[in-house]
Amino acid sequence: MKFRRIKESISLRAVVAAGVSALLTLTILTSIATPASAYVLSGVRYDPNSINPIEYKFYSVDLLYILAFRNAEAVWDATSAPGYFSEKSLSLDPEIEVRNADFGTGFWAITEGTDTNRDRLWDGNEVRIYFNSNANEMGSLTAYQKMVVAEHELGHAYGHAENNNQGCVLMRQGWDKFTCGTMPTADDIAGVDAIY
Amino acid sequence: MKKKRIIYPVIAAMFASLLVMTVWFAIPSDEPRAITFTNVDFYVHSSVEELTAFSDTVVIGSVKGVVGHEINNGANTDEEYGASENQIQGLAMVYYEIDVTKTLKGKTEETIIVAGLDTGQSICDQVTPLLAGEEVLLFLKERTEGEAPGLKQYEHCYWIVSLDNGVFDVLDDTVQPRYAQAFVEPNADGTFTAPTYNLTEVCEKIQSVN
Repeated sequence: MKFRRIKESISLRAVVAAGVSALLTLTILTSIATPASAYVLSGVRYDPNSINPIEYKFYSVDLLYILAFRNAEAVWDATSAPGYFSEKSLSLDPEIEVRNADFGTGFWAITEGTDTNRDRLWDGNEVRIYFNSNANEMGSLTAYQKMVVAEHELGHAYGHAENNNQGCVLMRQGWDKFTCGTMPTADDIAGVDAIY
Repeated sequence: MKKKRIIYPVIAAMFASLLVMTVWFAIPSDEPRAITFTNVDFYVHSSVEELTAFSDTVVIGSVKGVVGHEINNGANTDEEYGASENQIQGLAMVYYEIDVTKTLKGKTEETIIVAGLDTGQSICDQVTPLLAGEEVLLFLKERTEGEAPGLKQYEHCYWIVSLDNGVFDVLDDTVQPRYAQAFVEPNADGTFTAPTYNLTEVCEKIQSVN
C-alpha cells in the first residue's frame, strides 16, 4: 500500500516536472527563434490612399540612371506589392524626385524624406532619391547593379529600412544583393505588404 | 493656531505650484521641427584589408570638433543657394577637424578636415557623429578635383569610406568597428555585437596592405 502511494507520488511529480520542463523549453525556443520574415521597416511611409500610382520625376538625371530607375520601377511593378510607380515628367509635385550628381566618395545612393508631424507619413507624400555618380561609387557599378540599387532605393521610399539580418534580400546593405538572384525577394515584398 | 500658520502657507504653495504647472503645460510647444530620415546604400567592406585597399589614407587621430556645416551645395539657405527646380539639391554635410597622431597609409598633414553626412540634420542609422575628444581609426578617401563641386568650405578634405564602415573607435590598445554588421553575424535577436580587435594587430594588417 505504502509502496503504491510512493509510486503514485513519484509519477505525479514526474508528470509535473515533464510538463514544466516542456513549457520552459517551448518558451526559450519561442524567444530565440528567428522570425519567418525579417524585413525591417523605417516607420515612415506614403499615405496608403496615395500609392496608385506613386509618381516620380527625373531632375537632371544622366541617361544611365534614368534607365536603371525605369527598369527598377518595372521590376517592383511586376510584383504583388501594393501600389505602383509611374513616371510623370510634367508633374509639378511628384512623390519621388530623382537626381544624380557627384557627391564625393562615401556612398552609392540616398533616399530621404521628412516627417514633421510625426504621423509616420512622408511630408507632402514625397521623398528624394539621389544617386552618387562619383567614379568610386555608383559610377563604377554595372547597369544591372545600378538597377538593383535603384530597386533598393524604391524599397526605402515604400518604407523599408536597411536589413542586414538576412543573407539575400534586396534591402541588404552593400554588395551581396547583386549576387543572389531575383530581387525583390518574397521577404522584401512581405515588408511592403506589412507597411500598407 | 500654530497648525493653521503652517497649513495655510503649505496649501498656498501647493496652489501656486499647481497654477504654474497648469500654465506651463497649457503654453503650446515650439513648432515641430522637420525630421529628415536618410537611408544610405553603400559598399560594405568586411575586412580591415579591404578597407585599407579602398582607402587613400588611413590614420589614427583625435577628434578636435566640428569646424563647419553646409547644406544645399555650399550655401546655408535656400535663398543663398538660389535653387532652381532642376539644380541638384545638396546634402547636409558636416566638417570635422582631426589631429592625426599616426598615419598608417598615405601622407597627411598633422591636422586634417574630414567631411561627413550631418547627423544633426537627419536621422541616419549608418552614420554616427565624431565627437570631440574621441580617438578614432579612420579609413579615408582624399577629395579629388571635380568631386562634389557643391561643397565650398574646404577644397582639400577627406571623406570617410562607406560612412560608419570606415570608422573604428580606439580604446587603449584595442579598436572596435562602428559598423559591426560588416564584420559579424547577427545575434538571435537581430542585433549586432561589435567585435574588439587588438590595435597593434590591426595596424600591422593595414601596413601589410601598403
